[in-house]
Formats: sequence, structure tokens, C-alpha cells
Amino acid sequence: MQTHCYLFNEQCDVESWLNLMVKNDRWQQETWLDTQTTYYDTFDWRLYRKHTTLEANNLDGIPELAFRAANGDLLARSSYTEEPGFVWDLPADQLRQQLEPLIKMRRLLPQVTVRGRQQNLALLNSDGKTVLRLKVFSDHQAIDPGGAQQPLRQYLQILPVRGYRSAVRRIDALLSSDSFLHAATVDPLADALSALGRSPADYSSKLDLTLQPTLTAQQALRNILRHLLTTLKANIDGTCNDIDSEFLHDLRVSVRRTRSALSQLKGLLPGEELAPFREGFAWLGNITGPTRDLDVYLLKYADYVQRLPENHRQDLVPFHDFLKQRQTGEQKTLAALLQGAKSSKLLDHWQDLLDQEREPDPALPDAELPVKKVADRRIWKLYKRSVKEGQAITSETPAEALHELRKTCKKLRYLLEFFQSLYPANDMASLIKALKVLQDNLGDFNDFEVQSEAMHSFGLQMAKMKKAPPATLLAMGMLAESLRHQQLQTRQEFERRFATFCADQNYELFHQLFGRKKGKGASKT
Amino acid sequence: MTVLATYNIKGGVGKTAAAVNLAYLAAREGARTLIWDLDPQGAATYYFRVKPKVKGGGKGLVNKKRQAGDLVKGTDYPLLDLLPADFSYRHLDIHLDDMNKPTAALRKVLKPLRSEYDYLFLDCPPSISLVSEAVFEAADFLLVPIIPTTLSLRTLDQLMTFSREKSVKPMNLLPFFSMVDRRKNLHREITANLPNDIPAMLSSEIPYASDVEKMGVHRAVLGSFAGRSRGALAYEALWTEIRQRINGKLAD
Repeated sequence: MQTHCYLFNEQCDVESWLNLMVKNDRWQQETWLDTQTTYYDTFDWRLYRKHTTLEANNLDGIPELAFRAANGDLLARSSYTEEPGFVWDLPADQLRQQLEPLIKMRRLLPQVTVRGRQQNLALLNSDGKTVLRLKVFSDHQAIDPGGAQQPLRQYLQILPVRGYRSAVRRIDALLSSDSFLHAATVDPLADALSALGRSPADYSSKLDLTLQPTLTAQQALRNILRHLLTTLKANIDGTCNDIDSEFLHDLRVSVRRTRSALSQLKGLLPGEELAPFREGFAWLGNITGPTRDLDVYLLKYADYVQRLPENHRQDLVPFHDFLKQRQTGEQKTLAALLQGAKSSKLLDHWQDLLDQEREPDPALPDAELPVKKVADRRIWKLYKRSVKEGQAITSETPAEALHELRKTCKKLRYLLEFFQSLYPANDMASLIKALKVLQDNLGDFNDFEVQSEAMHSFGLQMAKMKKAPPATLLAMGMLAESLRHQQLQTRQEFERRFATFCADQNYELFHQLFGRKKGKGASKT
Repeated sequence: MTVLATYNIKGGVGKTAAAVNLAYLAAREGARTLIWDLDPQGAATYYFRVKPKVKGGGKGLVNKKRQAGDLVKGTDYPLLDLLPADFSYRHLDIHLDDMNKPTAALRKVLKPLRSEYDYLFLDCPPSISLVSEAVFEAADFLLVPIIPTTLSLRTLDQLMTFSREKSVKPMNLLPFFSMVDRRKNLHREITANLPNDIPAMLSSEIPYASDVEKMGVHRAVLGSFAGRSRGALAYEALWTEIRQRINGKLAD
């Protein structure tokens, strides 16, 4: 967040300076307030990335939540006094309405606190109307959630009042000629973090690494794998402490991407060295599965309720309790495994292997090729495979074929994402988008089937544990039917989505970017 | 954006006081709120200490020569903005009459503001005219202050008849009693009996209170100088009820 500010020189005594300034105009001066602002954001900085901030303010003991745009404009506020966490725990007001689409299922976490003194001043016109506001910040400290503190610069902020631009011009002229001040844009959140040696948006689940085309295929693969390992490790604490479900989601995605890289890019690292890691990451994928599945059912619970007729919605509550109880148990087991020796040994050894400098190995001829050459070849091969598999699907084809295609598309997507920095950004974005439209359909087709079947097995388990009143089982049966029905609808949609994906323009772009440049006769299938 | 208009055919019934105090409460709860003072007398504008002047006048706005957003003024209260009155609004009828679809004009002027605000309050001049018809079309809800007297009831009746017979779209009328003086027999009788006849009638009522009149002296909303007064508390109760009605309607 960048705001219109002036920094005070270090030798400036702010109070004396203010006493002089207010003599010149009609200023309304409030008393100094003790203030504390804690900036909240999700682990992946969803608010900051959308150029907004959420502040939990305490002005002389009065708490409020303020949601602001990048220029400091207030977008919504709430007098909510609890510590913000999940959006569904906030009161149903404007603030929640604006936050909901931005943070979704993520928990708001305190990122940094700024504590100090603040004075508010209002410049009045001849009608006694406020035409401009000033906020003066003094004796401020940035405080890390861990407790570390660092002093911040003293500054004043100009807050224009809409429709009174001439007041801003006049005060700007006055302040910019003042020798105790110099104009600056201040980003209070970024400045506080920077004083503590941090920076905002320091984590993203996106695979946003840049590969130089001069790298060999093996160097590039190791960069990719190191990047994935960093993401994986960044999500372990949040998963173990059950902060929110996205930690485990992101952790699992990095495991899947790692496994996919190892199988799709064979021959770039020695196979015998990789074997224990293939096994290790498969294990990591397995142990994280049950908790993630339950997380998904809990996230979808609100949708499940909506699918039922109103008079049956309440019947689903025992199912929610069952899911929650199972999730708590599975999450504990998972946390113990992730914090255990097997997991840390796996990740430590994997880090060591990726960090080792290697001599070229004659047994791995592809490893020394330029990365783009290998990327071209692998992407083109998988693209052709996806088209071939898709074209073989008719309305009579069994569901397994769609599941196979889903897996192929996922592998293709990972490869496109791994290597996207080697190709023109717009082209890659358009191909990834086209692929995503198809993947969403295939993903839904699979999810609806899995969920519908899960309702039956959950129902049996609940009945066995005597936790399923007949009304609940009936409601779950209706739910399974509704999901099955939607799966059929999804299937009907497949043909159209697939036709769009393998339309000529996409084919041409795939061919132009990754296809063999000499063999013009490359056929579409 | 939800558009709420305070309207009555009759003047001096507490329209402006309602618009100003309710808009203040909406903003205080954290909603981005705009109030458009459509009354050429400019009472709402006066309460906010803003000059009753709009560049290009009412004509510039409805002809779209001027963007409404450029004419908005921030008030002294966070999240609450004002589109000021202008003396030229007294000719707004004539400008609307020159247009193709006069009753759609205000809705069009407001369109670019829809994403900027959560609530818009229209403070309308009394009388029934093209301007009020345009307000009926633009507003999602019509807040109708009624003094519990026979004449005021007649105006409510006229408005309900208009809504049934002439209005372009069904109007959501939210009438409420205003300037209620419990010392008067007639006020007590009417407030006790009328709600049975009109189910949409809000149950909160605004008392006749000297604090409300003092808004003109302070040139400020009630909440800022007499936050715990009878009048201020009555507006709070009224706003809570209106918000519930809005949410109920939107959920339908």
C-alpha cells in the first residue's frame, strides 16, 4: 500500500513542528492517540496481491477492522473485536462480503504489528467543513509476530477528502518547501516488514521460477525440483498445526509435481539414485491423502447442504460431525508422520542430492542437452498423447478412459508450468488456459464420481459406528444421487470442451512452440 | 449497490433528517455510502457543510456531460460521500422531459457509481413529478416518512395508488412514522392502528425531538453531537429494521 506522505528529518521535534504548523490555517487538532495496527493476510498474501490490506486497529483502546485499497482508501470497516481468522467467523457485513472472494478458505494470519502514537488533524474551510486530513505518526515500532522489534521512521500522511483537490495542492506546496520534511510514498506494511528484514508476498504456491535457456536439462530439472522442495517445506508447519486446509493442499501439489517431474523427465538424473526418492515421495503422497480427502468434503459441505431440499438440510449435520471428527484424527496422525524421522530424513537427503554439484555423466546423454530441447520434446509428446487419448473417447467409452486422459492432461499441465519461462508468456498463458478448461471438466467428472461413491462408504462406516440416524443416511443417499447426476452432466459437456482444446489454433500454437521444426509432415494425431 | 430513496409527496415530514442519519449509520457500520441531495433547497448538503453547487448543474448530470463521480464530495464522516444539491435541480423536470426515456435518466446517471458504493441514499424533493418517477425507477426501496396525521395518511394513500396503477416497476415501499409526538392523542391513535392496515409499515418510529432540529445548528449528523439521544437511538433502530428488510428482500 503506497500513500501520499512526508518523512520528518531525524532531528525534527514533531510536536513543536506541529504546534507551529497549525497556527497558519484553520486546523482541528485531536490529542495524541496510542495506536496499534496489526496487518493480517493469508499465508500466500492473497490480500496484498490484490493491492489491499486488512488492518486490525486499536486507537486508544477502540478496536476496529479496516480494509483498505492500495492508496489507503477505506473500502470497508467493522467494529469486530475478535482476532480475525476464517472469513466465515466474521460478522455478515460489508467487510466480510469483500473479503470472501479474495481469501476464500484461507485463514487470516497476523503478519506484522506497528505500535506507536498518532495525531489526526483536519483542515477546515470557512464553513467548518473538513477538506483535508493529516495523520502524524511518531515513535513507531514494527513488531514481528515472534516479538522482535525495530523502530520506524516518523512521517505524516495526507488523506485527501474527495472533491477538495485544491486543499491538497495548497498543503502540498506548503509541506514540500518545509526543510524538516521530504515527500515520499510510504507503504506502511512493506516498511514495517522491511525494518524486520522481511518482505510482503514472500510465498506463492504458483510455480513462478525463471529458467535461463542456457541451462542444461539437468540443471533446469534440479532448479525445478529445488523450487518444489522449498514450497513443500514452507507448508509443513502450517499443515502440522492445521492452520488452514491450503497448507496441505499446496504441500500435496508440490509432492505431485515432484513425482511428475521425476517420471516425465527420466534420464536427466541417475535412475538408481532416484529410486528411493520415488518411493519416498509416493509415501508422502499416500500419507497426506486421507486428511486432504476429508478437508475437501468439509470444504464442500456448504455446497452439499444446498443440494438438498430445505427440509432435509438439517439431517446432514451428523455427517458433518463425522467428517470433522475423522479429519481431526487423520490430521493428528499426519502431523506425527510429517514431523517424524522418515519424513525429515527424506527431505534432508533430497535437498542434499539436489544441491550436489555434478560432473557430466556419459550414461545420461539427455542431461547435458539445452533445456529447451528436452522441454520441446517432452511437451510435444504429451500433447500428442492427450489429443490421441481424447479423440478415442466416444459417448460409449467407459469412464476409465476419461480418467486416463485426466492424468495425461495433468502431466502436460505440469510440464507447461515447469518450462513456461522458456517460451513467450502470452502463448503459454493461452495454452495453459485452454488446457485448464478441459482439465476442469475432467476433474469434475472424476470428483463427482469419487464423492458420490464416498457417500456410500461414509454411510456404511457411520452406520457401523451407530452414528447415522436413518434421516441422515437418506439425506446422504440423495446427495450421492445429486452428485452422480451432475457427473453425467459433466460427461455430456466433455465433447465440446475437448473439441475446443484441440481446435486448430491450439494445435498450431503447440506445434509452433514445441513441435519438430523440420518435419513439416507431423500429423495432428 | 442498494438504492434507497427517502420520499414523500408532502414536505417537512423528516425526509432529509432520515436520509442523512440513516446514510451516516450505514457508513458507520462499514458500508461505502453515498447520499445524493436531489432537493434544490439543499438541506442535506447544508448539514454536511458542503456548498450547494454542482458544476454543469442538474442538466449536465442527466445529459451525461458531467460524470457523477467527479462531482462527489467527501463528508466529514468516513465512508460517507455526498453528491451535493444545486439550485438548478428545480428545473430537473424540464431537462428530463426533453429526454427520450426521462424516467430512466437517474438510473443511468448512477450506473458508474454502482461498483463504488454499497448504499446510495436519494434525498428527494417533495411533490410528484418526473423527477420522482425517475427516483421510483432508480430506487430499490422507497423510505416514506409519515407524520401520524390525517393529511399525511392521505399522501401515503396517493403514493400506494400511484405505485399500483402508474409505476413502471413494482415499488418496495417502506413507510415509517416520523416526528411522532406521543403527547398528541391523534398521533397515539394513528400509530396504534395504521400498521394493521399496511403490512409493509416499519415498526420503528422517529420521535419529534429537539435534537433532530438542532442538526441545523450543528450542521452535523445526530450521531456526531448527540449519539445517545432519543432521536439518534430511534434512527439506529430504524436502520436495523431497514437493513433486515433489505436482506430479506434480496434473499427472496
